[in-house]
Amino acid sequence: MPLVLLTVLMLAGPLGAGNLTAKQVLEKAGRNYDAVRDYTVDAKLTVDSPSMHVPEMKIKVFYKKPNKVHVESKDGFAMLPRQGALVGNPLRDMAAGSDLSVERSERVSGDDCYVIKGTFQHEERSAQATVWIDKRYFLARRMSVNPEWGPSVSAKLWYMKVGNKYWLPRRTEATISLPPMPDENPDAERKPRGPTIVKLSFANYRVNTGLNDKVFQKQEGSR
Amino acid sequence: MLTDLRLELRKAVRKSRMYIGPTAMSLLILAVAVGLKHSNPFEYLRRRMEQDFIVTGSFINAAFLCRHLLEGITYTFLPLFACMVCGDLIASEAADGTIRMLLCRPITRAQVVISKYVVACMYVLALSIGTGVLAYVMGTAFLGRGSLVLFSGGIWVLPETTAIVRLAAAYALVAAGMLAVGSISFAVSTFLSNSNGAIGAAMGILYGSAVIQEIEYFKVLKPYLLTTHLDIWHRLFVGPFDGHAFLKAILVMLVYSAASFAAGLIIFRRRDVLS
Repeated sequence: MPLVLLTVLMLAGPLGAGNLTAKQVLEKAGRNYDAVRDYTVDAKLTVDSPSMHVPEMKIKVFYKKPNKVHVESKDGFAMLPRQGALVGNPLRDMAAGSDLSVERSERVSGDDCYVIKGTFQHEERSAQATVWIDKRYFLARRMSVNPEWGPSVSAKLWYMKVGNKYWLPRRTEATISLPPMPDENPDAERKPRGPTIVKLSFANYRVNTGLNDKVFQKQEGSR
Repeated sequence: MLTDLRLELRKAVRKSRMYIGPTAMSLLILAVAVGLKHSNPFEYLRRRMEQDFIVTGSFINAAFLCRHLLEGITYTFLPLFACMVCGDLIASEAADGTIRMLLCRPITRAQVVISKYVVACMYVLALSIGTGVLAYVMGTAFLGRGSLVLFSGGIWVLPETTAIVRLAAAYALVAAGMLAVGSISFAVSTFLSNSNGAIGAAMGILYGSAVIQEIEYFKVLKPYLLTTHLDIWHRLFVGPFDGHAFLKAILVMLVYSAASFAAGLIIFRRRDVLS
């Protein structure tokens, strides 16, 4: 009899997880990210783009909940495409979205993932998103966001455990289409252009150190 | 020959005209550096970038000053100051009435022309390269150092070391161009007794060449015009490196210099010195 009960419980676990709604999956995933109040991390930024010709940059990223981001560079100058900066909780906007549904299961890099689709509001525009959340750790492994206007983004994320406690990105890779740059031929907007790939690899996380808000108020370099 | 050169150099450093260019360039660089430090005319670029990027640090630095200074001086101050000195070396001897005394010495006319031309070359190179060095030093003092950021058909960011190497090459290319313009002025001055005519002629050829370059009818002349190659330094900072284009540009500029020098030498040797 105990053996039967144990078997039932073992089966019920995965079945229960499989029956999670999209909202529940996103909430569970959100808890992973919400455990991090702030962090500082060293990052290497590489941009492969038809309109941005930049070398690998070493930057320091400061993040504080809910969405404060500050970047510093030892080289004096650095620029990070906003859409390619997957810092903080990448699911924050989506969790408050509508039409959320678990579409299917799919394997991403060998891990089973929920594929969740939905619509959410971001910066006063509606966006359709698909996110791949792994079933084991409830971490966003892939994302694809298609706003009603403006460039679309697709991203892949790889994680590491920091301090045996927090799951934070080890590497991110975002594929975006950038708008024309300053001084770029306006006609360039109409020409088909290749995508911009923004790769970030992170190291030396310092989590929940109580970063001061003043860090995010610095306006370096603005004379 | 070395004695002649030493004498010419000694004469040249005593002329106040030699110091107008360096002084004016120093003041210009100082004004631009102070201006950039206290009011950033490129703030609109930063704001435009911040719509799509998280931007940190400033792109207004020594490298930026050096690069943008070249835009403003390649067709204005540098050729003017180069011509002022190159066109004066022989013409002033005629104007001062010392040319006959100069030629009474046991040296050939060719030696006189060569030693004066070497002084002209030294001045032009020192002025062009010195402007770059001074711009970088003043830029470092007022604006700090860092990567070079350019907005030209996209965004180009060159690491500081790469930027310095390319800036040095750019100023060297501009120096070659200025040598060509100065040489024209030098050649004209060999048959004039007033340096103003030589300056006017050389600057006229420079600006005339820039106008002809834009006229479709004369497009066949374009590859041979000095102004076509004077801007070649732009390509050091953006786009793939085209070694052939650089070699061609350097060759054209050297041919202008050599041809002008040869013309000046021939004219001066045949000239009937009456003053």
